[in-house]
Amino acid sequence: MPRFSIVTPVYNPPLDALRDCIESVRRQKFQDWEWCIADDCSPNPKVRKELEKAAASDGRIRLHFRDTNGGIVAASQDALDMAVGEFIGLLDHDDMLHPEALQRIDRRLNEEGNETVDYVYTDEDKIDEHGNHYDVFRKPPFDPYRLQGQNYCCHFSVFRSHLLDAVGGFRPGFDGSQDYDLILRATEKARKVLHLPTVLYHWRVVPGSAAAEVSAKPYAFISAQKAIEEHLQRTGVDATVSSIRPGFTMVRRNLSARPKVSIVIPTRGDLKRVWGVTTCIVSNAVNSILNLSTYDNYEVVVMRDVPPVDAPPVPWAFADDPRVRVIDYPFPFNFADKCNVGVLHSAGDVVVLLNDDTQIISPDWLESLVALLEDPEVGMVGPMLLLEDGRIQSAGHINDPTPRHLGAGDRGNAPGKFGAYLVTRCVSGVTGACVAMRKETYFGVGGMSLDYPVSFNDVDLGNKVLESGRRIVWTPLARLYHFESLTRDKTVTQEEGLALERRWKRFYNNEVYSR
Amino acid sequence: MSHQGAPLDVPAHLKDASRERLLAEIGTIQHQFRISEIPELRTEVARLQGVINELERKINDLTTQLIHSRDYAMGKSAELGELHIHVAEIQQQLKRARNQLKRAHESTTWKIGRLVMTPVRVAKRLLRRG
Repeated sequence: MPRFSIVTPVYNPPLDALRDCIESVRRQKFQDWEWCIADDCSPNPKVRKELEKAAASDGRIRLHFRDTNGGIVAASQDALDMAVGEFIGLLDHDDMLHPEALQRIDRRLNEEGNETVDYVYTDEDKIDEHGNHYDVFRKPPFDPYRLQGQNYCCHFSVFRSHLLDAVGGFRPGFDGSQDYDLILRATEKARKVLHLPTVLYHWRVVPGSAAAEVSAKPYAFISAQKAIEEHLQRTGVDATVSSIRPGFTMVRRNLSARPKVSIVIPTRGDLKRVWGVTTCIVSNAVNSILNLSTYDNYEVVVMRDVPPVDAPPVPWAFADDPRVRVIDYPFPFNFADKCNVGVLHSAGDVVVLLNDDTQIISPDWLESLVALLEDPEVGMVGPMLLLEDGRIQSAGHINDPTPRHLGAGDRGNAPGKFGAYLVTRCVSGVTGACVAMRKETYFGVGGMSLDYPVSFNDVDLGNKVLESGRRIVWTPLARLYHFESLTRDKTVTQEEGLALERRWKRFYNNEVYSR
Repeated sequence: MSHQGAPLDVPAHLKDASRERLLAEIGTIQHQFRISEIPELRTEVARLQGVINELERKINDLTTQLIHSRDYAMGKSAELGELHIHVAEIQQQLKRARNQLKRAHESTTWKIGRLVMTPVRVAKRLLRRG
């Protein structure tokens, strides 16, 4: 039994591309493989000749010529049925493997102990007609949320053969997204999914291919949506699925319960210019919540500094609403402590820490954030934050080289690198300007550390959540304005920087989710 | 009971029966809690409310301390993790330096140099001895 079986359905590829593909497999440094090729009645007779020539020169290449053209699912399944290897890799007829692809995967499987890894995927890039490599897709570790939004695992995918037997191989009715459907079903059952962060697959861009233009095969996106809908059904997630653009799907989770949410807003009650008008920003934030939010079970806890006796009165203008509570904070400024005290006084099972210089855009922002917290593996959720001019303020945190906002300054409707701003996905952190957590998690990790009275308290909190084994998820479904730093200058004290480094330097320059 | 013998299906009689029963119950309650005790009860309620408030404050203080302790523990654990990484890095550096030194000692250049310098080393040692 060979270690690897490579499975390839073939249908009329450009001959040069096919030759390159064959050559890339034959040049593998790792020798213990077989290649199962099923030709789906290619009209070009030279394709058959090319395949037979390859098989004649290497006994590990096994061919099957279909009598009729059955489409990609049938051809893929025929190739899969021939495979007898321990692991099965999927290779398209015009793509190329890195010469060390199988060797590196084998090495990594051995390092991992080999016993429980059921699925491995690698980074990939594209090759143009002239053989130039571009569009390197450096992928994150396995992220089930992102996989529901896009087939980011894609190439090179290697499955344990027992797993494919268990899930039943390719399914008819998913043409064009048969591999996506297979990955979704396989990852539901896989004991361990491994990401190898090295480019080991080169996706050839030929006119009309999915690599060249994601909208080239519209039927593939209908299949993709169907695959996700069925995946959600199987995994017991109640959600609404919609296609947002070719290659990307929006999964909107429906709430199974509506827990009480406490929105904690620390404030000084400052007046600032917002939308060209001098406004009490906390009133603006609270009023936007009360006027727009569709969630029906929340309270707003305003944590306000007690102003000095000689200070002018703060022009609060909250609607007379029983959902709003104002609590005085009589101590010297410490943002972290203010949040902790606010959470302590809150009544909800879910807390949302919200800056006073924010304004709601999506009416269902709370539904979107709270729904993700229903997954016990998720410890923290953050939304898309936009600046006043519509550009992105933060689409999550990235440790590159030190913690900073992802997407800062990009257009508000920009898709981001490989669609990173289009889909709900795991991130290294989210900004404390708006973050939702279960209260139990917040208290469990010790809340915000008082060592960071001004800056980095959110980064520290996020790292503690990650260390506790939970995920941090960012979603574009919830959108808010964040009129950043209207309330204080951006000065970062050296002590806070050093304190962060003392705790979390290992995260610096070690970004895994947004590489 | 006062309505004994009265026809109960007459609404007026029913009303009287209810009123009398209520009056009897009020009488019993008044007997149990004399009117004069109400101010005392109010004071007791206020005292108990104060106790509750104090206990709630204490719970909040303890919860705050618990949160800070958890943060402290997680922070120290994270710092310890950093130190382990730092120690591992230093050990790697040390290992590399030792290997370099070993390679240098094994090199022909070092051996020749050492041989050439032998008279100087011996002379130095003799001078030091006086």
